[in-house]
Amino acid sequence: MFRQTYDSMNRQLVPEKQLVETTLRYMEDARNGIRWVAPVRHKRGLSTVVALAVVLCISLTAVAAAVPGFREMLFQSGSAVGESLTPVLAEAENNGFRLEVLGTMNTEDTFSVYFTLQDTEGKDRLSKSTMLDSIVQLNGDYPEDGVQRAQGAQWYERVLEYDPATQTALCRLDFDSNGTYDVSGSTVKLNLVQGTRTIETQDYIPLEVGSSESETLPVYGHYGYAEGDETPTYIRLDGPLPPAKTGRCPEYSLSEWEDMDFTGFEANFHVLKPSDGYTLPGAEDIRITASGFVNGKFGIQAYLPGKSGYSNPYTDFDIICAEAGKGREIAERMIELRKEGGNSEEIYQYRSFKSASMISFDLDSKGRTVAGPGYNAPGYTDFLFEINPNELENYEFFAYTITREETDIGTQIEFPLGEALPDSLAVYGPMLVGDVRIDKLEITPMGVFISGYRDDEVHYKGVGSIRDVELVCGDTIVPYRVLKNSGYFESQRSLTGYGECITTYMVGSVRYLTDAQPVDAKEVTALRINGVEKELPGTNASEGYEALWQAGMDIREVTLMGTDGLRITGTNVNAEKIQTVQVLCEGETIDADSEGSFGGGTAYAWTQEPEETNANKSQSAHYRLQKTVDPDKVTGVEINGILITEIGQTKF
Amino acid sequence: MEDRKDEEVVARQGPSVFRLAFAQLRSKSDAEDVFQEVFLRYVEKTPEFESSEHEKAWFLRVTLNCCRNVWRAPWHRRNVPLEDGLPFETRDQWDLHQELLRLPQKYRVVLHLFYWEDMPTEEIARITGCSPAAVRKRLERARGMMKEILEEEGLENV
Repeated sequence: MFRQTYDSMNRQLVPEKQLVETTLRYMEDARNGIRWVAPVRHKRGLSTVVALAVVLCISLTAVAAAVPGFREMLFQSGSAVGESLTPVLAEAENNGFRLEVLGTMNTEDTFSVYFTLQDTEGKDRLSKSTMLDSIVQLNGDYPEDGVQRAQGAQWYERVLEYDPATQTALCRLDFDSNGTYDVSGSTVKLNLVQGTRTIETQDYIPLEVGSSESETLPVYGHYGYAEGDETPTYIRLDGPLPPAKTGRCPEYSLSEWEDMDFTGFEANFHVLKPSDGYTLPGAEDIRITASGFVNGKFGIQAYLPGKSGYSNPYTDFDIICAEAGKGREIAERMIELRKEGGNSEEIYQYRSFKSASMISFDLDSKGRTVAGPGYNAPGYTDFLFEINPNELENYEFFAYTITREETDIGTQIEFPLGEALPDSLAVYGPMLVGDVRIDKLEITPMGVFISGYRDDEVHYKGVGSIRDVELVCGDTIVPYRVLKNSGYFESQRSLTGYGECITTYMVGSVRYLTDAQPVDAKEVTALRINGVEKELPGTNASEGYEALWQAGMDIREVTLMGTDGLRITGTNVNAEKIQTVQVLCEGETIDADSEGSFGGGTAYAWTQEPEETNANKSQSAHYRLQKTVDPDKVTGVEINGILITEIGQTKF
Repeated sequence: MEDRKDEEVVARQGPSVFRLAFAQLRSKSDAEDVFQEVFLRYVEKTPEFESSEHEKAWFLRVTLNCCRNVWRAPWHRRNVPLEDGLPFETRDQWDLHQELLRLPQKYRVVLHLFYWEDMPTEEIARITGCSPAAVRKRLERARGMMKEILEEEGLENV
């Protein structure tokens, strides 16, 4: 009977037609030198992360000369990029630009796409420094309206190489849903909206500033804008008028404002009084019109012409403070960082040195200062630095300008992502490495991705506390460095049913790269974070919060409340996951009964627009003990049989 | 020309490759992955066969090698394959499938090659890289284990 049943089983097992067709296609591609990564299939299982990534150390310069052979370069044998890419043949043309998608790679919640963009009209509208602006949407609905940072989506485009002879740029877009969307198998719509290229820079313009007393002007109000408008529609008075010292600041239409008399107005804020000033060398539209101390800070004022309408090209301008004698060095470092591309955190540090801030304003018809004219509008800007008169000589200031030209590309393309499972990846987690909790570790040819909470302020640290990452491959330790600005963190807030204080935490992912050869995920035996080593695959924890995470319960805190209450706080805490709760006290096991879950989470993306997401809903589940206990004698709490000994206490 | 030859070899060896991969991995999706990998290796290696038996043995051996790579993947060690669209029609087939999951893979392969592919133990030995004696021993144990499992589950009539 066994044989009969076994035979009948096997007769049912035949390769499906689609599998055969796909395989034949792969075989043909292989004969043409295109090697597909094995399995184009999405694994459905308890853990379904697909890794891809090719370390950015591929030597593109060696093949730049082969342009327009970008496709051949990406898929040539031995190319780490090519072996992990799913080739896609999709092209579109518009506005004299030709867009061709060369290949894609994806994990469960990230993808990268390589594409070329060519100026077919030979107008030099592209360059190595071109910054692309795009709208991306998956399956027609994520993120909503293709808006970046909505629903956790984030992406970044860059030009990798440029061939001036063919005016073709090889580009890459990296997309991250930050765990809020499974991108595998999705159809991507990529709309390249515009490209902005740098046509000229003035990288270091030292500024001579004085420390003498400067005249200041009071700020009367701030411009207000209706939603979506770029021109102001009203002005809000900056502080109530005397004699009434209470009430909401009044708002006026622009015409009403002009007729108002603000005699006796007491300003909260001041700006430097503009003078004619002097023209900035190399940027004749920009004038330095004042410098001095205002609002307890040192300020340098510039008149900026703004962008009249949508003038193109346009010039960006900034003033940087540096320690005396280091201005040029800082300027050169910023040049290097801008060439690397990206929104470098180091550039941000230079730009924010000495708590740099700015206030833009213009003067109404009566010479009164109103702050906040539109970005494109001409006006004055005070660049302010927290420097007192005694230390001014310790610092120097320089300006830089970047002239950019925008080009409408307006080219849209659709392409599928694979459901690929490359053969060089590994996924682990959640785990506790020393005192750092990580929810997911992905080892891929494109680097290491670590996901989790940024920091928890109760029992463990999070991803934000990671300083060093190393992978152990037998006797070899491979160091990784964080990819700047690769981290995305989402804020959440929750309220308990008892009116407890709001808890804010953030969860996201960070990417790490190595300068060494990419590791083979199969060879990795351990992970080291901040010098603490964790063997991989790790043993299952039998107790503690790590055991709860590995059992699928994202619990961050267990708190004893008074003598008969218990609160369990975590993400998506609900009765389905927590089945039994018992408190251990003086050798006795006391059952606890659920009183329900309270609080909810509202996920906030970077834009601070509240939006409901299913992911990461913070909740507190409350339990009542079947008998009272002496809190000082409680030795632990068991949740589904998993023992937790680190327990908080409140009086009620 | 090459395309035509590929079609013929896939048609000829595809079912055996797929069934052996499934016998080993007990997962349709894994078997499909291995299926593709095997034929890609065929293209890369371009082996020359002396006979149809030689060709079949080559494909089965490569299939087993590819299956081993699947097992080595960390994700596979941590995950239990779900029953992803298996085509079994009867309760007996499903039950037997579940019981075969309990067998170690080295026993599953000999059962499959012996009972389905009708191979002699010497041939199984060449494909698996074991000695004929080891194959016979595994068969004996596999039968014994299946008998125990089936009796335990009351499926001795399967």
